[in-house]
Amino acid sequence: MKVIEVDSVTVKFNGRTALERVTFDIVTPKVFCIVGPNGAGKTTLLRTILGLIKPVEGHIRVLGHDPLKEPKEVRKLVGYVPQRASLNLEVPILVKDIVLMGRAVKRGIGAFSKRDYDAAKEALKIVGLLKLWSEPFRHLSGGQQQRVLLARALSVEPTILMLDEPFAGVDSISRTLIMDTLRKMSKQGVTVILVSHDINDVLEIADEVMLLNKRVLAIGEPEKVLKYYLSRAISKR
Amino acid sequence: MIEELIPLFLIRAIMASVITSITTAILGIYVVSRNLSSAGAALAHTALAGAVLGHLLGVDPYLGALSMNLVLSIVIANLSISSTRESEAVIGLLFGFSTALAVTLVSLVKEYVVVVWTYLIGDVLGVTLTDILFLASVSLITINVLMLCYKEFKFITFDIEGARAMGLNVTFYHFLMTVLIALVTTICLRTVGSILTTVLLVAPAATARKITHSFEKAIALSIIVSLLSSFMGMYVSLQLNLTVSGTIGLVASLLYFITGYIVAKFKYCKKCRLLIPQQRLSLKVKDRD
Repeated sequence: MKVIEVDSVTVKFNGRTALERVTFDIVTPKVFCIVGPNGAGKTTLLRTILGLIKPVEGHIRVLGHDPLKEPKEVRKLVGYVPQRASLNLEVPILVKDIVLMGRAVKRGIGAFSKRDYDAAKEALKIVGLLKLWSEPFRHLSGGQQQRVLLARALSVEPTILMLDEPFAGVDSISRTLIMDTLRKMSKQGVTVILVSHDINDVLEIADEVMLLNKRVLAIGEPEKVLKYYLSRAISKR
Repeated sequence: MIEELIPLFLIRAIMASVITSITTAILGIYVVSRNLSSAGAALAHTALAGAVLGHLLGVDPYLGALSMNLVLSIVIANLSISSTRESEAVIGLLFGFSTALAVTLVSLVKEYVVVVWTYLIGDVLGVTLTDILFLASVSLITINVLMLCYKEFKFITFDIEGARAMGLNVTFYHFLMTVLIALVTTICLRTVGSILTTVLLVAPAATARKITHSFEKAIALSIIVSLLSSFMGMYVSLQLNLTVSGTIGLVASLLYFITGYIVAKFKYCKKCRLLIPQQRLSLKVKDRD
C-alpha cells in the first residue's frame, strides 16, 4: 500500500487557484521534501493531505484512507510540526505542556496517564532537550522551540511526520539535530514530509524532492531536481 | 453566631464575590490568551441588552440575557475561529452594536431605572440566596467543563492550527469556550454588572500572565488577584461608601498597572530571593564580565 497518493488535486480559494492538478505518490517511507517559493501552495498541500481543505477536484489517499471521509483515521497517523509563526507565544506555557499536547488527541477527555508522561519525556529526549522539561517555552531559542515542536509530533508515535518550514530561523546546531532526528525516524519506517522555501535547506536530508509552484514543476532525486532548479533560475535571468 | 458579627447581606456578598472571582479568573486566562477580550466585552453588553429586553417583554431578565448571549456567542464563535483581521473588526463592531442596543433598550424602560442600573453595575450587596445558588450552579458547570477539557483548551489556545492538524475537534472546543463566556457574563450581571464583568474577565488574567510563564500558575495567580481585587474593592467601597463593582474594577485595574510597572522595572533574583531593579542587575552582569 502506498503511504501517500495525491491524484490530480486542484484547490481554489475564492476562485483563485492555490494548487493545480498536483499529482505524486510516496510509495515507501522516506524523507520527501516539498520546495517552492512563498505562496506556492506548500502549506495548502499539507493541509489538503490532512483533510483540512477540500480540493475542488482530484483525490488523496493516506495509507489507503480518504482524509475527507476518514479524517480521524488519517490524523491519528500524523505528527504535525507547524510553522512557528502560527503559534500563540502570548500563552504562558512550559515545554512539558507542549510536548504533552501530542498525547492529548490520543488520550481523549481526562487527565494524562504515566504512559503519556513517559512518551512525552522519551520524545523530548530524542531531540536532546529533556533537561528543559520544566522551562518556559518563551525562554527558548528559535532552534530549541522548533525541536520542542518536533518532540510534540514524535510523542504522537506517528507513521507520517509533517513539518512546515522546520529550518526557518533555526541555528545550525538545532538544524543538524533536527536533521539527525528526521533521518533516524525515516530509518525506523516513518515517512517524513518536509516543506521548505529553500532547496539548499533540504538537499542534505531529502530522499526525494518535489518542486512546487501551484503545480508540480519537478519531482525526483535531489541532485536531478537541483539541476532542473538551477537551469530554470539561469534561464530566468 | 457569625451572623451576629457580620451582617447576612455581607456574607452573601462575600460568597457571590468569591464564586464570581474564581470563575471569571479561570475563564479569563483563556479569554486573554486567545485575544477574546473584545468578544467577552461584546457578550457582557449583550447580556445587559438581553436583561433589559426581558424586562420589556415581561420575561425573566436572566433568561433574556442568556438567550441573547447564546445567540451572539454562536455568531462570535463563527467569526473568531478564523481569527483574521476582518473577523476581529466584526467582533469589535458587535461590541459596539451590543452596547448601542443596550443603551437604546435602557432608554425605553424609564420606570425600571433602578433595576436597569443594577444590571449595568451589579448589586453584590443585594444578592439573594437564590442568586447565589444560581451563580454557584453555573460556576460549577463552567469550572467542571474547563477542567474536563483542560488539555484540549490549552492546546487550542497555544496552537490552533497544530491542534486541528493533529485531529482535535477545534470547532467544537472553540464553540464550547464561547458558550462558557456567554454563560459566565450572564451570571455576572447580578453581582458585578455588565461593565465590570469585562474587567474581571481580563484584568486578573492579564496581571497573572505578566508574572508567570506556567499555565497552571497563571490560573492560580489569576484567582488570587481576582479574589484580592474583590475583597479590597468591597472593603474600600464599604469604608468610603462607593459603588462596590466600580471599586472592584478600579482595584483590579490598579493591580494590573502596578504589576506591569514592577515587572518592567524589577527582576527576581533567584540567588538572593529578592526583587532587584533591572538596572542594578545589568550592572552586576557587566561586573562579572
